[in-house]
Amino acid sequence: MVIEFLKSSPLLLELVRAFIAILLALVFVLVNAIIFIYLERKVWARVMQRMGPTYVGKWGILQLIADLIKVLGKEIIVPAKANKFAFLSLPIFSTGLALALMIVVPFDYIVAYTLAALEPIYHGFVIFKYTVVSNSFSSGLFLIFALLTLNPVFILLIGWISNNKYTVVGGFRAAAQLLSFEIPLLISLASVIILAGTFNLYEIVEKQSKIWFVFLLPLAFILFLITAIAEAERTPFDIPDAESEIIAGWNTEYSATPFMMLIFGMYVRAIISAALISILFFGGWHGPELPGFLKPITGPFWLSVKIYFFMFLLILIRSAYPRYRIDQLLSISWTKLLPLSLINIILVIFVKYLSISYGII
Amino acid sequence: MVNMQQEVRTLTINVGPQHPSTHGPMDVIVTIEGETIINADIRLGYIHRGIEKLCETRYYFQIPAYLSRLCYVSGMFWEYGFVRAVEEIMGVKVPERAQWLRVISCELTRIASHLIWLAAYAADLGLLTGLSWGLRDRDRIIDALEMLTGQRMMFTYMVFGGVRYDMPAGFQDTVEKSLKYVESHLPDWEKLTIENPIFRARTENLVPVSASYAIELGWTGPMLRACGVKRDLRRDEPYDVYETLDFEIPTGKRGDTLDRVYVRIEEIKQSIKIVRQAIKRIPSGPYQHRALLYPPPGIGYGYVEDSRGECGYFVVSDGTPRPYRVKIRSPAYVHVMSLPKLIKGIKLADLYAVLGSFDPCLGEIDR
Repeated sequence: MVIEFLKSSPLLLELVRAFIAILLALVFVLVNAIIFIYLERKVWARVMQRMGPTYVGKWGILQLIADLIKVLGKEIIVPAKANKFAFLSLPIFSTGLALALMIVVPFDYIVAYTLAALEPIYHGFVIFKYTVVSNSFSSGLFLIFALLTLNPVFILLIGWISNNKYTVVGGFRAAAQLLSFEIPLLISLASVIILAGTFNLYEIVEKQSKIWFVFLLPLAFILFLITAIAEAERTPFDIPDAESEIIAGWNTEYSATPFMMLIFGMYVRAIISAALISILFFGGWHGPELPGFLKPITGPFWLSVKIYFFMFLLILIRSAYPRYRIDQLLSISWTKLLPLSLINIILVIFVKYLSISYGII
Repeated sequence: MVNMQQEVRTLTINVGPQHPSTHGPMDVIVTIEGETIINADIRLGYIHRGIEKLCETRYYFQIPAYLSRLCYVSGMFWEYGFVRAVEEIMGVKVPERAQWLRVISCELTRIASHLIWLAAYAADLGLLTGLSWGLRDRDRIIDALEMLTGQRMMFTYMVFGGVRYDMPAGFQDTVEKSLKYVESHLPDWEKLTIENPIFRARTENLVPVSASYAIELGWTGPMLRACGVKRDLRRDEPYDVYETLDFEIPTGKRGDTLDRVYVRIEEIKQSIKIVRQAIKRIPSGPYQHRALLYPPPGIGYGYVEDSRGECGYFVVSDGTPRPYRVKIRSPAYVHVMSLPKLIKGIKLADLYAVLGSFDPCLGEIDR
């Protein structure tokens, strides 16, 4: 009866779908952020020939929950000279921005895909078949650009408002790094948009049903990988929060829950980097169909495999390299990545012409 | 008004006394403009314990226990330097087995010290994997030293006229096992540091120092050898049995930060070589000579090639059971105090790369 009612009012149905899409994306991010942090601690520990967390739970899997409870119980210290309202509200914006990025990524499609396969069992699932993100976010990549561009503003503000020399230096480093890496990032993404002819991430994935874009745009993939690591502020580009240089950079003054939120936001950005790489270049949920009863989860399975592969890659890169200096980083961005991404834009025109004439996209 | 504008453009940062990269409580006051260092000053003395003065109030045989606290990663050299100075006043002839044991223990300490430096330096550059690897490798060396001396850090192994304990049974095997373990990881170390493209980008041609300027600054040890000067007390003014040992003195070419890393990694290899020879050639006999409790009046200078440079002790004895004066020459102090001259004009991030490469050990700098 509820389903009948929903079907009778399209606006309400759309609202329910939007709500469910946001909820699914958030659940996915929260679960994966925790898994990612655990994975990083374990894998990095193995590279270092340590054990990593072992005591809380089997193989230390409950360690992060213990850490979470510990951090929530800490005192929130606000520096005497800082503006209290701004100091405490900025982490919410910064983390919210990172989470907002996640909603654009069409995770709800893969859930809808799974639910649609279960339709013979329960007819009610059909209303979730076409979900909000894949249907309505025709400007999905535009939104990602916009949200990424907002990020340095908040980081600079956080560094400034903390009223500490290290945070100011970290904030300026972050602003310089993120602003200069956004340009090659956007231009390398532009080549994907030209090739796919759409801003919608769902349609971009569907275009890759025959061939993954990584084979058509290898240069764009490499550029995007480098810039995405820089955007996520991870080693070798973790210059804004270089712990051995400027303590913790722009988040030096934060403690307890706000600190946890900032760190969480950084991990969410790393996951988004991994998710965007797998969606834009590695065919998203496309992959060989799983046998038997596993068939409904083919999409989610392949997407997760790809995302975790890139997470793993990010962890290994972090464990093997020291960090660049800020001026080296800027010169890499302006003298190497930017010209290469412009060359890539020219290349993609020929690639698109050829691939349309061979009928592979 | 002009002054105010000046202040807005520059920023003064206290790197320390509590900072992850100063390797101890030490304060580097840097003035930066943007990211460029325009001025730097060093403030030391946060862990000054008055060890030189303390030595004047203690009996001679008590003093080495204090001196191994000077540098807690290479304590063996520091007690050894003092013991050598006092032995010079006494005129004691040290038994040959003791000399060999001193070489073994000192070279093992040198390996451990360089490994912990590598660990800390990698962490300075953001390579936290190196931190863990260094401690892992050092632990095996410390195991061997523990077997020999009964201690893992504050050895108090050197006594006037010999060493405190003889080599225990099975020591050779333990040492060989430890050395093999360290040696097997050295190629990994080279890949992680001197062959790593980002590591090279950070350290290559960073603060190159010419040989003549390094001598002018009073540098010794690996820092001087990185500048291309073949100076090593073990070869130039040999003590103990170093003349009879076969080892090379690695030197750098450009004198930059990368060369300092390279020289130290090569020195680990040479020390492994020395310990292997010493373990094979060690003769039997007494390991301790019955020495006086305290020396007759006189002055003595004891020098040792420390893992950081030339460690020196100037001891004045007036015939009483306590020394009249003990002066310590710390190589790391000389190196660190030359830092402000070298870092003007480099970037803030490079300060840590340079300071770390000096191997500052605040215990011996502040004394």
